[in-house]
Amino acid sequence: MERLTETKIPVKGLWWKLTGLVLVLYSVIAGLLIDVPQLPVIHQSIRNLFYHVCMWFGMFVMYGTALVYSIKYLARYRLEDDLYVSGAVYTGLFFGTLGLLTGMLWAKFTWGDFWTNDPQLNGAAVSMMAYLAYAVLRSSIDEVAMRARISAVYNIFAFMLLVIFLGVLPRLADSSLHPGKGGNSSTMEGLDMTMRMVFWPAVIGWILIAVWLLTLNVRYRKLKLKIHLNQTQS
Amino acid sequence: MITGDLLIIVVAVMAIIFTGLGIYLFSIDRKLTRLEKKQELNNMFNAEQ
Amino acid sequence: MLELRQKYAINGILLYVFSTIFVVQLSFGRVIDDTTWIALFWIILLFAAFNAVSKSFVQESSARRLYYFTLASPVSVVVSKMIYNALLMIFLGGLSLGIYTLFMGMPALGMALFLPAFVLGCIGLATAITMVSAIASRTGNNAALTAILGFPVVLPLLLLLIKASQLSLSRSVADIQMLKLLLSITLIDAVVVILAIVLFPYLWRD
Repeated sequence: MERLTETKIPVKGLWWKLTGLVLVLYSVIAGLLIDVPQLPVIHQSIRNLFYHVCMWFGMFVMYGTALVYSIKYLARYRLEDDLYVSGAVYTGLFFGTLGLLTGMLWAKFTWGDFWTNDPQLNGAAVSMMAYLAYAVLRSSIDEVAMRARISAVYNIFAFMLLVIFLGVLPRLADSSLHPGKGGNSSTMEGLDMTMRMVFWPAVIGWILIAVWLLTLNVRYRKLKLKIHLNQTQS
Repeated sequence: MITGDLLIIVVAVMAIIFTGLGIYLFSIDRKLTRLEKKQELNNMFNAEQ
Repeated sequence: MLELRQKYAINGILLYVFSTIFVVQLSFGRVIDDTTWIALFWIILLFAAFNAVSKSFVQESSARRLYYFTLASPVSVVVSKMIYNALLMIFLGGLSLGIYTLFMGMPALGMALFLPAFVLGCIGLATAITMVSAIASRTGNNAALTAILGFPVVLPLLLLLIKASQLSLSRSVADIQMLKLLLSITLIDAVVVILAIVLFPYLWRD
């Protein structure tokens, strides 16, 4: 049985989890209370910026982590890395779903419809599909080592393509409903000082929460494996 | 801007929900730590045998 | 270089393309507007591509794979499969275009603009689906899995192709937008090929 070694992140540390919670709480409360600039169409719902965008940040960090651990796995063939990859993808899917839901609610309010033909929305949908396909791929292989290897390959492949699709293409597109892309005046550039004070802590907070969820997931599955192995040995 | 009263209620509810979620996450974390410690003890026990 | 596939597989795909186009003609009549024409064409080509390209990995049993493994390096295996599939797709695409035009007429596509996008698109579809079916071939259930894995990967390319085709409708001289699109398609093609070359050896070992 492979000795599953400890990870670099001080997983059991208390302070960063608490910080994450405090930051998120702060962003939720402050986000509702502070003054926001009055913009046409968006009005008060611009507060959603603190939540919806944070979801995407969290998701992106998770998928980036998945990529790093995929490469690590292909380099070292340590099963622990594979646990991190799948955990990161599942957490990323979770945040992505939240992002889509908050996005749809926001869309209904500002643009009048739950879904539109916007390159960023398409990119979000495609990335959802790609990682859901990853989950399907994992479930179709039983042998542990092969599953880890093949899903790592698909992970890297899909991630690179998604980076292109989500990052490069929307900038090239000629029409978009999202602010800051394709000809709209950017609300991101004009991010008010007060909003900035809430936004960046929110992002950091949610990323910390995402990492926490990831570590919980991995620890849980590691424990399950260990207990299972101990039972079969004794 | 929504009226002051409604705003306070919404903020309070959100704070309660998120704090509750945080407590839930913490309890899971603590349970996991406890289980992991038990596993370590088990392993040491088995190794000594 | 690997052997070419058997003849009957190709005939099957041709029949598929032909019958699909025929059904389109029956349901829509000869006169459809340009956007629909483009969209339907690329959809038909997409499914034909999936069918054609995924066959390149399905038929191999482990014994044969071991034989190939001892013969050739993984890079040359994947490159040769991609080249073969790319050529196959261009051929299929051209044929489909011809049959499609025969049945449905052709809108005023500026050929100078459409053809590069078309060829690049065929290559892109071929290489991406080759890579994905390589991944899927290492698991048990092939047909569904290739589609599931491949669809998100192929969708952005498809959108670009449709847009490029639409653009080539109205102009016959290249302009910024068209060039941007062509560049994006080429970029996707290049990235897919590079990724495949890098990643395929990991899939190949058994």
